[in-house]
Amino acid sequence: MPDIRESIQIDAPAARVSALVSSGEGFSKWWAEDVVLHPEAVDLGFFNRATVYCVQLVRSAPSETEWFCKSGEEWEGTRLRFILNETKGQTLLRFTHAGWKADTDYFVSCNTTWGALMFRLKAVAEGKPTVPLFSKIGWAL
Amino acid sequence: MADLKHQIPIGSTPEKVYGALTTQTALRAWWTADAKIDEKVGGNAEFGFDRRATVFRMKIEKLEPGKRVVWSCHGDNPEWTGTTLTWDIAPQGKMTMLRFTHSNWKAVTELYAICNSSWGELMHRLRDHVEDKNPGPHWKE
Repeated sequence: MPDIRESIQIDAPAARVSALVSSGEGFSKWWAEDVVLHPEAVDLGFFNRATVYCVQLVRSAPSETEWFCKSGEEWEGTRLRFILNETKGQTLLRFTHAGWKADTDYFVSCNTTWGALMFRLKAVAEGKPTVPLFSKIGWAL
Repeated sequence: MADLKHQIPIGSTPEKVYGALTTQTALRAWWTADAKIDEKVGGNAEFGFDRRATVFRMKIEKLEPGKRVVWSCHGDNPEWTGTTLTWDIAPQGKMTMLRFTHSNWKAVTELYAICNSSWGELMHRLRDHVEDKNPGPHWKE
């Protein structure tokens, strides 16, 4: 089963990065503006809710957060893993979107999108001005 | 051997996407301000990052207007040496689909994952450049 792998160095402590990847409120700062919070789960809406991903929090520890994807034709059953390694106030974030059934066109598109998302996450963690990559209706500028 | 694969739909023509990959002025507008290229098959290209802390040296292997661009990498980074970068451009409805493969990596390493994230970000900058949104280069010096 193919996985998407990302890695990025962030000039911020792990606790700040962890807060951004372990809650819907965190996701709304760099990923999607349209988030609905449920206990232990989050709905993320894209393109006027043409796509909605429901992700459930599996575990959240200071150095590792994992979400289980409950919806989405190709996302259902996949997992989002954020692993953080802090050294001298800097954090190496390793991200895996694991358990895809196949290496499809959508898999490749999502690989590209996750790359851009890593840089939005980095900017927020580093306190630089940015907005989430997806507004309620489409791509943010 | 491992490949990095990306793709992004762009709201423009194949010719304009091709232009963003084949002229020095355009490469400086989305990738790195320190780009020097000989705009012909067999020509050399150099991409410098962070005041030349890193330099990627390429040879332009193929130029098929509106369709395909292929570069081979000859240094300086040992993990990039021997890799091939292929850009495929095709109309898709009113849009243009850009597919990119960075192939022949010797192994899946930390740098491989870091470059995967950077390519995702760069594909978005390239798209925004072609769509006249003036993103600026990811590397400014």
